[in-house]
Amino acid sequence: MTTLHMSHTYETDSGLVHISPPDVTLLHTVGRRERTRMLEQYVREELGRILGIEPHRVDTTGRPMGCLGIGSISGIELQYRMEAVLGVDLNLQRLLTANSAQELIECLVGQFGPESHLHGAAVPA
Amino acid sequence: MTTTTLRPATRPTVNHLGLPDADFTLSPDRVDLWLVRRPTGADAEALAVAELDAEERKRTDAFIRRSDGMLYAAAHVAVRRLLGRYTATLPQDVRFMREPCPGCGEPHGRPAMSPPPPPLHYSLSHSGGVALVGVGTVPLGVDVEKLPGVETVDICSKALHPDEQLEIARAAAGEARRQLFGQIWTRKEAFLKGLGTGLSRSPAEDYLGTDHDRHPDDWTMVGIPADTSHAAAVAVAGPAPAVVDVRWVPDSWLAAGGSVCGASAPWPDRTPLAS
Repeated sequence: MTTLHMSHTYETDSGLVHISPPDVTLLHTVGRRERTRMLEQYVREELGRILGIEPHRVDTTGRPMGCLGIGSISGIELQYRMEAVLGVDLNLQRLLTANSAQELIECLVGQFGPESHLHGAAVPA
Repeated sequence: MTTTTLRPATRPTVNHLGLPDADFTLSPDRVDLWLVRRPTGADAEALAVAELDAEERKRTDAFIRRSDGMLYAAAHVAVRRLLGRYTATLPQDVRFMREPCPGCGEPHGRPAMSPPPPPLHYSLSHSGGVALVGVGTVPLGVDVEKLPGVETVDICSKALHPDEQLEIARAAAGEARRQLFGQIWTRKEAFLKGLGTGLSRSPAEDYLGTDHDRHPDDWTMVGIPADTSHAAAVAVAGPAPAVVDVRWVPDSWLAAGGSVCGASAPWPDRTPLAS
């Protein structure tokens, strides 16, 4: 895996936000509900970093990625950051055209559950 | 007229200062590029959003940042008015379609006017407060990007062709590296949009680095002067056009009740900088 220098904080108008990448080992062992919660929080933090807003203000359900402000370069940044932290592969085109961040979260959730072992490496790349 | 000759005899001449007013004709020897700045204040209030169709208005309202929605709306008003002027069509009557994707044949390839008005081809890009519209007689793609920060450049460079990565790594850290990344990336995305694949084709597959002689055959990539915080480029299919004319669209051209003007148009007061 490519090693990248990535900061774990970013600034918003309301102050500094600390990003807490989820424990990948834990993601494989917790139940689906907890896994979803952990990954949603992480996706909110990464999107918040790109948008310059606090994680709780990120709309994960009502807007396509483009309307969140994710363009080609920020999409690649998001892809590489999440791949490096989570050890998964993400399809850039699908990430950019997702109808909402929730689609991305569900894609990630599916890669850490028992179903991913049943179906081999369930990598949507 | 000020010209920037990028490579005599084999590269187009890029005209961007002191150009005469556009006559809105099409020529195989020329590509027209139009830069649009996000309107603010009274210009934003006056923007002719009523000319957008329902889908465009819905998307305008869907942006989480109002400024992004305003740029999207201005870009699409500009596209409708400019293409309308080239084709003698009312802006609100301009219809769009997607050409077949060259990869799978599905209708998500290059955007085009519907029905296609041969030989007009166009492309649109917007980023960070600036939009770019390209119009020509052959397939083309345009891209404009706000220059990303240093950490973003380091991360996103990994997605590029290995030789492009080397060139970026060799550039001086900081501003020079950001500029070079912006130039390479906009050439890359303009090319992929011109092909019609977009980013479904890997950004690592094609070389669009500093050596123009190694660029993909049958395409001409040209860096475009935008402003100090953006990089921009156009990719043109086939033999290189003789000239690329770059103009800023005056805000007044996008206002309700206004129109895209020719010789009588007020000249934009924003002077673009050479890239």
